[in-house]
Amino acid sequence: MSTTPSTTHLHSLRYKAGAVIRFANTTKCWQDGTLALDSVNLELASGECCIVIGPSGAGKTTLLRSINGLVTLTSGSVLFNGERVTRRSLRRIRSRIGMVHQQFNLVGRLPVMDNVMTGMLSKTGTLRSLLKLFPRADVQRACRLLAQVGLEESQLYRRAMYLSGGQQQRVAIARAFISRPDLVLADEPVASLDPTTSEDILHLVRSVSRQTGATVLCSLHQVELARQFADRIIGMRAGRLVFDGPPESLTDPVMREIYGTTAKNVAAAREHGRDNRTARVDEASVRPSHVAELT
Amino acid sequence: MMNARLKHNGSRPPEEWGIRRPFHWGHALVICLLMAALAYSADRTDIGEGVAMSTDAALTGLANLVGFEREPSAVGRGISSFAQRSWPIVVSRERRVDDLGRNFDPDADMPWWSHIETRPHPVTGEPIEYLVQPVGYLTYVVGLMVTTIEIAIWGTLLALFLAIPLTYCSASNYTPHPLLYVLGRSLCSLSRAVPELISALIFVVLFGVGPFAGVLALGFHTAGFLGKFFADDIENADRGPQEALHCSGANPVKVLRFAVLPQIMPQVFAYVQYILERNVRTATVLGIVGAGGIGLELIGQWNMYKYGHAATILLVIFVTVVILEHITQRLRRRII
Repeated sequence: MSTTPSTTHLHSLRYKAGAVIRFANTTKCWQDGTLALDSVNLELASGECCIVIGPSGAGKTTLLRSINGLVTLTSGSVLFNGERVTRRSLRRIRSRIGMVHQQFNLVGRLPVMDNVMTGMLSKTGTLRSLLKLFPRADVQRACRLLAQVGLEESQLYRRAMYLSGGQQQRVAIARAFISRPDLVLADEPVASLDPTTSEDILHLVRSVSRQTGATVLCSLHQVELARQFADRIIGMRAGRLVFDGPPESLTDPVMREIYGTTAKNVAAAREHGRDNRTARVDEASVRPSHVAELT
Repeated sequence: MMNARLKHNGSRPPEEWGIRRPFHWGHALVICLLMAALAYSADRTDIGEGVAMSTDAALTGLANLVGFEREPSAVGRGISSFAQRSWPIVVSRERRVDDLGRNFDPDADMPWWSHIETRPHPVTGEPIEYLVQPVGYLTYVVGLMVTTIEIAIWGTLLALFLAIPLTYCSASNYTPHPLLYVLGRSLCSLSRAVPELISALIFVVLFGVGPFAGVLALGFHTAGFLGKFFADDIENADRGPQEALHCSGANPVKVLRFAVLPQIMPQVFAYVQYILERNVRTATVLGIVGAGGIGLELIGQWNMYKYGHAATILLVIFVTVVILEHITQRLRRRII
């Protein structure tokens, strides 16, 4: 590949007005009776970077997965660019959405380049993609994206499984953004990464989305990182939205409502090597009444 | 009984907790029944007589080794008779020039590396001309072996070709329809259930004696193996990358190509390699029922008690299988 990676060539900001995503009374009830989403009403504006926080089992992942049809709703609906997400519209809608997964979900035995190009599969003909004959412009954009997320030419044809966790997630980000998506879903993208890499990864998601004008909906466990990178923070608990606002208004009482404890305690719990599950046990005493009804 | 004892021990002190014994009388009963069944079956299959003969042969061998004289055993006699009759192995080929036809011209029609010898007839004493090819029989057998390998390769290619649609239908997570899944799995089982010697017999009836019947028999039999192996691998492949590609709007065929195929590639190579090797081995015996290859020659020579010729054939088969395994191992290591 003799391309000169350059960030300036990334296509210009495409900021569109109006809601990209609209949740209308979205409800998901699992077979065992757990209410993962409880009549969620939410709108995301174009170009927004929205981070969802909340304890484990609050419904963050379900919220994200209901947008691209990985979860079928019990009732209510999700609208993407004004179009309702149904089985019929799903493939078309999915081609406008990029996704970054917690476990990276790269194809380990494929080289980095091919992994990025899998993001373009929905926009490439079946025969062309079966033979890996991707258009040159797409291949060049993949190179530019890879350079932007910090990979080098020498890594272009390395198998993804030989990369470190942070590098794999960088490749996954390039894969999510290559199809010029309107929306990028990031489901706990830094949960299996160290703090420094986590910050780098979120920084990348933020900067690439700014350049491409994509809306970002990201779920996170690290409240501090959410404060640092979000335009808007959404707090969830037991399937309900309990907070929706800018990072500045995420105060201690709000934190108590989301996690059942304060930010300081969340941080302290983490420092002592206890996971969120343990933190959740502590919350029982301060659980708000409307949550108790649901659980 | 044991479970009941374990159930109500919730509050007992740990010293009194019910510990399961590794064996109990049920195991002994099962072992006794199995032994009885095996003993009955051994009597029906002459296992006892076989063991007695082998022991006799081993004892004789041991006695000869130490220096005692002992009456030769039945197995020993068989081994020495086969060894005597199959040694030296036959590599040359002799034919009477008269048998080659009137048009044979010794100046123009001489085969590669051959000469004409004149020897007197053992009874009448009149001189007879023989066409002698010093390695004629060996090259003939090697030629047959090449045909056999060709049958195996075509059989494997046919199996691969048939296995692709079978796999697509038989992988529960990619099948176009549940009915096609049942159909695919049943076809895989059916094709594996019919031994290739039986299907070769049928194909010989349909297509006549020759290698093509062998190719069909091998292809249909091993397609079931490949279809099942590939489908199982697809079902067991890591779901994460597949989900990621589904999320980006790729259709199932593209997901198979990019998220599943790279994952199962090493196993695919291993299976195809195994099937190819297996097909070469099987193709050597398929000739026995008329499906071409080296088997027909082997059974012909064996039935005429020409063990020298048979030994040459067996040696060629053995060497070929070893070489083939060596080559495929190296290939596999390079590809994976």
